[in-house]
Amino acid sequence: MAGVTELIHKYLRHDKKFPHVWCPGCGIGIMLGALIRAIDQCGFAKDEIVLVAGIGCTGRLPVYVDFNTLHTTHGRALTFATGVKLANPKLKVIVVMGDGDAVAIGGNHFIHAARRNIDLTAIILNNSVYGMTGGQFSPTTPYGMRTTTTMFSNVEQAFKISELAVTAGAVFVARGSVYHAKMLDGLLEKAFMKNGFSVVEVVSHCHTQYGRLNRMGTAVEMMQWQKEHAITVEKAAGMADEELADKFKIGVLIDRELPVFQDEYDKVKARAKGISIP
Amino acid sequence: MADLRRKKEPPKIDIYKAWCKGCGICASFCPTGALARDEAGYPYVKEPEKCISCGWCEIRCPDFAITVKHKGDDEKARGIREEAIQ
Repeated sequence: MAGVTELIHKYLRHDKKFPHVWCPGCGIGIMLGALIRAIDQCGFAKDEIVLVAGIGCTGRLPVYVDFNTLHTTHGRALTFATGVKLANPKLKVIVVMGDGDAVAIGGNHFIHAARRNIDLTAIILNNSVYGMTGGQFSPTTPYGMRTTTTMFSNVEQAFKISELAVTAGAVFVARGSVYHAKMLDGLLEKAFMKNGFSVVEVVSHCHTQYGRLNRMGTAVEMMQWQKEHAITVEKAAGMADEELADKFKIGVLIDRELPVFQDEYDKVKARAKGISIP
Repeated sequence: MADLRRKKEPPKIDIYKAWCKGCGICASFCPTGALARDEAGYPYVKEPEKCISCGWCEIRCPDFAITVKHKGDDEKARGIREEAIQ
């Protein structure tokens, strides 16, 4: 098991300012570690990878890693990634977004990228709040929780990102948590190897904004909460809905085959040129 | 009668203080209690012989500031593993 940190250091840009900007105990750091380990395990070269991110705490992630990186406008990470993938299909494009980036401002891009089934991997870090801008409520803030803009509790229901992705047509959808970091490695690996739009939702914590207002404690206590409330898909299959009310499922939610945009587009090009396809 | 069992050499735990922010994740989730936190909240190796080198502190450290090395994981072993990856 040893050598994990050394492996991660191989992929970091040491000329950037370290330690990184995230709060002490932030899940983004743990997710970054899992991302690097999964890329290393898949055997991709550094130049093959394009890491695209939007705005927010997760938007800071590509700065620290030695891949081709793209830091884009808020919510538009998937659109930039679509352009990169279509211009050079040989590249492995990975999009890292926060919950606000993916399902609030970029919500439409997200569902349409899933529907189009373009070969991208979207990693969505769900910390239930807009952390960087001051702790405003996001579409994934659970009902009844306090944030800086819902001081008297949130009256809206939260989006379930993974279920949304399944419905929108993603071919691979998985959910993990930063507490289960080793499992996250495996989920990310599977997502990278999948041809088509793959989504990995990472349940994380924002103890600075969300945890403080809801008296959920430190990063350690919030990770303990993840441990207690996570339940594997296999285990959840035999349980009643009432038992699952305050739990979230982790594991592979769907793994299916659908026509991939890039392949279909190549066929269209061939048809237009009058070449018959076998 | 003397104890003939050879005592295992404990793994070497390095904490890179310059990068550590003292979140306490490594010490709190250490399964054997080899790590502990000081008054300021920063981790230190309290009982090195308890470490089973499971590596969870390395995996969960958000700041990549802790390394665990055991005896078998020397330069040679790493070289072999890197070759296998390539």
